[in-house]
Amino acid sequence: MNKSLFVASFLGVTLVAVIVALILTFGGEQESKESYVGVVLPGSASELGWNGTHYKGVSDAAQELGAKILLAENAHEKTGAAVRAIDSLVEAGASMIILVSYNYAKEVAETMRKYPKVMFYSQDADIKEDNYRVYFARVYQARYLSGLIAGRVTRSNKVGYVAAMSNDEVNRGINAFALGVRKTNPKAQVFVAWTNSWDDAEVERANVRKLVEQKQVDFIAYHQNQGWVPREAELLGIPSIGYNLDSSGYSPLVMSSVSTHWKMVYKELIQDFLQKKQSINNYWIGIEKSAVGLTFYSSAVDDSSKAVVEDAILQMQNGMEVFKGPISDNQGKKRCGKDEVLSDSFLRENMDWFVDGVNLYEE
Amino acid sequence: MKNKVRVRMILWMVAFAAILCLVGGLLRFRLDELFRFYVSSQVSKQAAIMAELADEKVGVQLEMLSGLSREIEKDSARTSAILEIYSSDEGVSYGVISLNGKLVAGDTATHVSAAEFSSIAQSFRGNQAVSYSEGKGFLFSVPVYRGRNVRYVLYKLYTEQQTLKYFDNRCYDGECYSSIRNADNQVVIGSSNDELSRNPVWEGNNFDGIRSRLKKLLNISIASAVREEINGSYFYFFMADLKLPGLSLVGMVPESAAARGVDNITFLIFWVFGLLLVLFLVGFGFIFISERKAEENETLREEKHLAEKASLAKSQFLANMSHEIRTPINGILGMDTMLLKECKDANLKEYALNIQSAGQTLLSIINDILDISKIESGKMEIVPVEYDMFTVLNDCRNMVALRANEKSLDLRVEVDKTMPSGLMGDEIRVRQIINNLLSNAVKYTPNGSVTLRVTYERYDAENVQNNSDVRMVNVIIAVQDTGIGIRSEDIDKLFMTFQRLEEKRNRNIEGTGLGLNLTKRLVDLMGGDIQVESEYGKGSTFIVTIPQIVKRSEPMGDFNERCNKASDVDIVRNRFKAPNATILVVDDVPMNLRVMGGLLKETQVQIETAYNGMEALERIKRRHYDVIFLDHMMPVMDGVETMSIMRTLSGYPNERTPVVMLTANADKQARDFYLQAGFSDYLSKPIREADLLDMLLKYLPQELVMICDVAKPVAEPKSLDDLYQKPGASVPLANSVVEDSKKDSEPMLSDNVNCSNDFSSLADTGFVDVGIGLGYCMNDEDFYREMLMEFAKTSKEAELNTALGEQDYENYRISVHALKSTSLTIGAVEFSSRAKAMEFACKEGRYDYVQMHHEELMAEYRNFLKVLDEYIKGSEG
Repeated sequence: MNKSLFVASFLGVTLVAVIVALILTFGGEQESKESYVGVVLPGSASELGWNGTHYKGVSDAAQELGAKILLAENAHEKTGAAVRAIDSLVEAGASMIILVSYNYAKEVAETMRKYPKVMFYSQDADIKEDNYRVYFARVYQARYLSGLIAGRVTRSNKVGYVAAMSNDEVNRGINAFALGVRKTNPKAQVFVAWTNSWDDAEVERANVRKLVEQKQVDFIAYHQNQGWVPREAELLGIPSIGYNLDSSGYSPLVMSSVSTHWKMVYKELIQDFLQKKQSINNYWIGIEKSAVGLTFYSSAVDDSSKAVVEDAILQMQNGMEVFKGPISDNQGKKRCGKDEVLSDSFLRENMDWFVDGVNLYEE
Repeated sequence: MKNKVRVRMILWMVAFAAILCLVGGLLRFRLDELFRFYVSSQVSKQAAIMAELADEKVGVQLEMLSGLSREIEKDSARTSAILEIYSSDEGVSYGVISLNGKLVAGDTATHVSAAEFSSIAQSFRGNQAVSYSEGKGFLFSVPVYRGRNVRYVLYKLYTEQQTLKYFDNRCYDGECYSSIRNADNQVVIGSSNDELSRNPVWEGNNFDGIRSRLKKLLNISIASAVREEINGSYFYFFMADLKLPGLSLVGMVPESAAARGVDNITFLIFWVFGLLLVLFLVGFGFIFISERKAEENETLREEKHLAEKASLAKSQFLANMSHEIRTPINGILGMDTMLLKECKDANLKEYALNIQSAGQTLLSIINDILDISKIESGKMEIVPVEYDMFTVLNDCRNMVALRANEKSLDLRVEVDKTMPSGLMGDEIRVRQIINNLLSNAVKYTPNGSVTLRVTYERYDAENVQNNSDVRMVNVIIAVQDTGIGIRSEDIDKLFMTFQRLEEKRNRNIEGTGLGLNLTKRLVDLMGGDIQVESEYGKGSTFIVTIPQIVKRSEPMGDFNERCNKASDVDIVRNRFKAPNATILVVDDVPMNLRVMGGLLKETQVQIETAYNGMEALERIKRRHYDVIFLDHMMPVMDGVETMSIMRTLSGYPNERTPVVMLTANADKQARDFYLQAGFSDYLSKPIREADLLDMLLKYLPQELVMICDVAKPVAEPKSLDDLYQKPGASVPLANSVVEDSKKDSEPMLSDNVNCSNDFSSLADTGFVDVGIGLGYCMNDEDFYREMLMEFAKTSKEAELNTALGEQDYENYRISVHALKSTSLTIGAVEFSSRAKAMEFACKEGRYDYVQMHHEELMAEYRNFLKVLDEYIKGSEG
């Protein structure tokens, strides 16, 4: 009797539990599917500089949108590491993969075709794939602003620029910087020294010294992953403009830093991806959304310089273009007429020339 | 326990109902949620479609504008002319501006700037773009290139009003409101649904909460929708981002429009669920009730079982008690009889007489108590047997005649001549009823007469379904006395247990008041009716009506005449001797054989005997007999069977010998059957001397018979009263009461007085009617005593027990049949009736009855034998 009662009540409770569970879980296929964002970094995510800022930006954006990050670090270029990283990320469930290096796109073009359902994002606009979108920030706008400062600071009218290699992005930065320098100091010349690497402390430091010693530059800017250039410039007592730096740990000689709020950029592209829509244009966000700018002024920057910069920012937000005519290149060829503007596509794809006043350092 | 079970059942029911309600509530909640989710997703899909539509419209505009831009690029000189063609539409203006904000061509009336319209700056970078400026309107812009550089920007501006016209997003048949809004929640393009657009939710910051929820959902999907209550009614708000940056489609739709029909589904589901619940509860209730009923039945059965057990124990106890009591009383009475016989002192004799009378009363009380307890415990059963009405009435009259004589009452019997002679009913109880009424009447009648009147009426039995074979009659037995009568107010109390009326006046009259009560109960039990008519001081009439089945409808004839005849039976007119004749008597009961021997002693006929058919056949084959008497019922091979075998034989000495069947079934049909079976004749048992002698005379060859003169002429009895004095030998103490008046009617009587005194103690035991017993024994007391001894010697108890134990009802029937006939031979009428009832039960297959009453019969049997033993010892001593 007791036993059967027990069995009956046990069955009853189980049945009720099953019914309740069934009711509660029924139709539970609400869109709670996790979205995984794959990120491939050429260096370490904890590194201060390019890798660190990008990773912070993408992870902050993903967190805000409720997406998960799948990270592949230290996938050095030209080693095939990027391809392997993509394979493992796709396998792990990533449906969008952000390749955080300009050179990756070319390297993994084949792999992108292998995964037509995965969306890839990188900076190289020369690559055309259906599942590939170009994104970047209009960093050149900030370079222009930093050029304004450099032009006002230089006494020798010679400004150095240590750059990794010649490509649309780097060249665009050099040109914007030069346009800024020449805006405040029309006589000034910009000397560019290549390192042929995004991250090579020795070469970068050597280049700084060469430019100072051989070209007599008294201000230096750079386009490298890490801050070896301002370190060397500090040693030499020369003012510099940083790239993706914050003020801490540097002397006032590092007058400001060109930086990008990558979170803004990444948020836009991750959100679009999650919403299953793609922008009609490429992701190229600039000063109008405060995605790029100068992060700080050191005490060495005088108020008038600041005023010049702030004024330029305001103008740019109201439609002033960095690359508006008249622009000639350093070979004397006219590139843009008066009141004309270089279109975005030109900026992305055809920056194989340098504006007037840019000199390439040659030993 | 029952209550506990009920409470538990109700708890279960409540628990189930609660669970069902819980599940129902949960289901409702869940359903609502699912439906809302479904409707939300539908609304957001609708929003996405609307957004796509808006995008499409924007895209078309931009493509058109791009085409225009390329025309201008080709031929910048014609810019104004080209724009002129398109600027005809009301509220739409075109223009081409340069980077410094100068209007190169187009509508000069409207002035646009890059500060107002962000799209202009975008277009200067070579992109197609759309933007909105409050108060100005909606602006599409595309770059105008020169070579690869952007030279100008071409725009198309819709005024706000025009925008509305062009982009009106109708949805849900106009029941919804939608608008395109910028990032600051400003309406870029509204819609025409005035009512909803004026909803307070759109005013001030009211929408902010909803907007942030929508935005949050938009993070991961192209469109979103939420359900909100506004002023008591529910709306779905939706939002979808357009491809153009910063623009969203935002709107609201009443739930009634968005979820049309969903309510019905919910409603239907809940109806069904509710009905199921009701159905379930009804089912549960049904189970509950039937369960309870089953329980009650169980309890009832248990109670009944217990009650039955208790009552069984009680009646067992009573039966035992009464037997136990009866035995010593029998002893006392027996001893008292001895005392009466041997005592010469008149005083002591009187004391002994008092003892006798008190003992008798005690005995009858005990018997009554036993019967009443039986009725009360429902154990009293009406056992229908076939009986002869005449015998019953005759016996009853004989029973009471003595006492009536003692009181010098005139005892009259008037019986309807057409009364069917063979009836079916409970013979014992009919006897008991008549005896009770008669003895009661005698008891309460100081002088005058007691009349027994028996008539009958046809009775159309409703309960006997038109079975033409079964006819029923109501036997009406009326006992009229000229006694003290009953006061009319006392009549109702008459039949109550232990009720005696007028105690004071009747204190001299012995009795317990059980008699009438028992009678009424018996009558009721038999489906009859008892009535009393009484006149105080003048006398009473008790009328009993009992239904009985007619078995033999031959009229009984004149009762008193037959009584005379019956007494004549013993007057054998044809005495003869046939010493050379040899007969074979076949009977399994030795006593019967002895009876036969006793009856034929005078004739000097040579008698050979056999105990069963097989043995008889052996004998038959060996030698010739003059007559063969074959008992019907015998073990191994019965009479009919034996006869049929005999008939198949040939060339044996008895081919022509007459065979007479000895049977207890003496009705006409049986007779025909026997004659058909090849018997020459039949004799009904117990065998009377005269019948037997007649039979022999008829079938013995004449040459062997020597007729003698009638040895003892017997005087005819003069009156009815004499009649039952006739077998007067049985009447004890007759000498002291009957004396002078009847003394001379039967000279032999006085000789027999001493002897009958011997038997009187036996009669007092209540087991035996000595008169009847002697009647069957040619009034030969020695022979009768012999018979009694024979009966006492041969107990059939073991035989019966074995038969019952083996469930061999055929043998049981044979044994009990023998018991019936032998006990009747010695005059144990009641015991014989009991045995007869058992025999009937066996015959009819009512084995339950047999099993139930076997022990009772055996107890009675044992008791009877014990009493007999004592009597025999006493009389020998």
